[in-house]
Amino acid sequence: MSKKTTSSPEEMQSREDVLAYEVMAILDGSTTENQYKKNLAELKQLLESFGAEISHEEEWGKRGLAYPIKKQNYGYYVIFNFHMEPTKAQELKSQLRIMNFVLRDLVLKTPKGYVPQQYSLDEEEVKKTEPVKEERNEEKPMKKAVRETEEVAEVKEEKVVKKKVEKEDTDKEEAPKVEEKKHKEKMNQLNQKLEQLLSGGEDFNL
Amino acid sequence: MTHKKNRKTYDHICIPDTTYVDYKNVRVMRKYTTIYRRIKPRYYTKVPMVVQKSLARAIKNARFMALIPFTK
Repeated sequence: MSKKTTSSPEEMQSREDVLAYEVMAILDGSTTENQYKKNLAELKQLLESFGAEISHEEEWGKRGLAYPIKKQNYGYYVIFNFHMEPTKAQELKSQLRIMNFVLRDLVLKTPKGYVPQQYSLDEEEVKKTEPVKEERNEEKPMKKAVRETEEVAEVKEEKVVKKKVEKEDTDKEEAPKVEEKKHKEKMNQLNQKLEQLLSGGEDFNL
Repeated sequence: MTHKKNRKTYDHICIPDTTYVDYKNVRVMRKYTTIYRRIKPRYYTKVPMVVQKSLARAIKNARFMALIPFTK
């Protein structure tokens, strides 16, 4: 990213016959660096032919596009801030559209007192997010210590629970034994009845 | 009498002392679009109408210049 300032914008703002404009263009990304510089010079020449007095120039360099334009995924971003007579704006737009190496262009009127500002691009955002993760890692040991204390407490609780469970188990183990005995008695009684029936007992009623 | 001191400022969205939102500020454009890249409605953003309108305009310009995607 490079920045150049040529003429003072304050002088231009005082004039009433001109307006402040901003042009952003995406130049062909498939070309070489030398070809790109030639294209940029040509674009600048076009602006100057319309009587534009460029106050600020910015190059973002080669950058990935959010979606492919004319089957291309990369493009050179260029921004110009200049003052121009408003009657020439429409013609400038149509001329920009004709140019072969311009993928997209945007002509805007900037508000009064607008100063070109630099914003952080996506690449810088990624760098900023990385240290945050490291801080999180530093926090983890603290949490671990807390967890250990929690675990100790849990173990104690488990021991208490186990003792209770053991007591309950002894109670529960006795209960099923009684049930089994009852079951066996019932089965014995049934067997006896069956034998009586098979042997042709007197009380044979269905 | 207007209570200018109590008014909220939106300098993190707009250029200070204006209601103009710059379409080049990609971080703001990302913040005010949903995960499906739709413009967040005003009942989520809670910004004044003037700011919301210029915000929407800026997002549309940023989309046109392939700074942010139209859809996901």
